[in-house]
Amino acid sequence: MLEVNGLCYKNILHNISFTVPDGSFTMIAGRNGSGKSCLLRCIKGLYPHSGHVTCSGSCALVFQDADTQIIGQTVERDLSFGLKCSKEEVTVKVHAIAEEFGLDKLLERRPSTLSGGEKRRLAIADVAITGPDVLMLDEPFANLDYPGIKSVIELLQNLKRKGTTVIMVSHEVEKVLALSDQIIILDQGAIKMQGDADEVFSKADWSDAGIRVTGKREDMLWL
Amino acid sequence: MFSYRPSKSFVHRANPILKLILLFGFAFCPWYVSLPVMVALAIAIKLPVQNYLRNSIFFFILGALIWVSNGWQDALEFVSIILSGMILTDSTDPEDLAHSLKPILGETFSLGISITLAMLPVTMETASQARLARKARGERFIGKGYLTSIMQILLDKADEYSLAYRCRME
Repeated sequence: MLEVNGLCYKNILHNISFTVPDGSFTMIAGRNGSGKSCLLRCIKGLYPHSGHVTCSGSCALVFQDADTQIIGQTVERDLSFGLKCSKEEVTVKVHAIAEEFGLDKLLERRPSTLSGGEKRRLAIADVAITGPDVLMLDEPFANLDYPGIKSVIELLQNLKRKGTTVIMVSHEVEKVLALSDQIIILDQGAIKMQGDADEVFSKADWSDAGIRVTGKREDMLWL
Repeated sequence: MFSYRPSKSFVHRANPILKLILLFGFAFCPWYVSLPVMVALAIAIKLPVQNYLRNSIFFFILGALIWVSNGWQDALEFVSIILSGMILTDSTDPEDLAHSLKPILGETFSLGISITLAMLPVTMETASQARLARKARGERFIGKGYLTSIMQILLDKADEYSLAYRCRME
């Protein structure tokens, strides 16, 4: 379980408190500049902040720009970066995650030659390979075309099925609304609304939150 | 040239630190010891000399100048040093080198090398995009403020990279 209590950061985030249950899918939505990305970085401990963040397990963050998170000269080396186990175990882990994320045919490729969607899948796989209890994603659909978005949504569905706690920041709500258990709407660095996805979906003033929502919640899985 | 080319030769598989030590060792050897070894290694790893020749004009000019000023023996020594540098970079993944240096120089230094290596293509791309963007806005000669704007972008990117690396190291 992840618990955020009274989190404040400079003049950007003000008294943020919420709880994310194990295995749930939480979406943090809001206008550009509402402090969504900043909140994830504070939870991860990258930005010094006041307030408390308690996580019962390990917590990993996938950055908005996949390029910044890719380090290795090849996909295989990138996946194995930072793994603290024997060479044999690394090979097994890398091949298993590559297959799961559809990267098995790209292992020898240089990351710079990958498409935007492939890079995003690699960035998520880089983090997922460490087996985090809580996976945070910052705008995973940014700059992706339809097949790219589709493959990321499928990955998120798999992660949810496996019981990984997922926190996703996005202003493209309708793409994963059907997956969400909880929705938090941020506005000018403060929580405007939070709660069960069904409840928030029906009550929220989406246009006020800078988000265009059309149709029913259960229809909103962009596949 | 001077970039890693994956292969399975024994030189590629050798320990990067050993290669680095040998590189320094051969740099102090006379040309008649180092040059034959380097030529043999270049053949062993199938160094694509023909592809590299086009980019080596600068070294040819420098070699010729050394020949004229210091004599042919110094010129051959220069050739040997350049060749050893080519062999090292051609057969050593920079990431492997950074990883191997970790126990000797510490994790911070090793991470520093990784960030620097990752920033090299970013630097080139940023410079090229900034130049194109300025041209697109009608600037005929790239001048005032060009370096400052690139530096600003690069510093922001370096900050972002170091945060992302920290995330992956934890």
